[in-house]
Amino acid sequence: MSRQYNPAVAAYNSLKIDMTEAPKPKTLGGLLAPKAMPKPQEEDMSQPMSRVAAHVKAIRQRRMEEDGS
Amino acid sequence: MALDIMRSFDAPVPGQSLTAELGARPWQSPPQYPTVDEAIQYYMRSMTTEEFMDQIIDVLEMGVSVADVANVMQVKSVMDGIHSVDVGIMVTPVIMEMIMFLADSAGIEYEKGTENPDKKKLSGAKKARVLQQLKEETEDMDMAEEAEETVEEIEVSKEEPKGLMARRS
Repeated sequence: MSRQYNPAVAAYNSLKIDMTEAPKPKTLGGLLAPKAMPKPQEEDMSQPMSRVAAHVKAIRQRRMEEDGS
Repeated sequence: MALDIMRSFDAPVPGQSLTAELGARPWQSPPQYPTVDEAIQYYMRSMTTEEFMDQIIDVLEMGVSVADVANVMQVKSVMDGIHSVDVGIMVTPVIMEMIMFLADSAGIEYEKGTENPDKKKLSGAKKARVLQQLKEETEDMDMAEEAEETVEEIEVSKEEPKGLMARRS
């Protein structure tokens, strides 16, 4: 039996959430070290979908921690 | 049949939706929470109550999928005039994740409902191709069997007669 179209599934599957942690930038201590490190591209938080993705990521992270412990 | 007739009596009369005054329905007035952030806060508040947790665990244990529960929740909120349809759809992933979090915390098995059940099914063209291949293979097998049988028959016919009256070469 085929399931009816569910917009919740479409919305959930269309979220692109990267659960891998970004590597920490190396801090250079030399005199010739660049003052401002180039920042990695961040999500545009003015978009509601990015904010939703951030919320989902936070809850999922917590869920995975619960599963792991 | 009788059940269908009974159901048709329960259905709304055509044009019934136009009988109420414009703006009398909750979804016809401005939503209570117009933005995604406000709607998320509303759900977070309502989903962390003891009563909700008990109810959601019961529903998930009954075998209802997380996606279906989340969709019903957002549709109900739209009908109650809490948020608009587009905000509801955008908020659904947060509701789903929160439900899964609650279910994991309670340690119960649940169905996510994000998998497409039709994906595992073969398409019509694939089915036809597989059937054709099967047919060809069975035909080949039949031909091979027939060949084996004829070879056996020939071998049987080649056997020398052994009776008393048999000719001696």
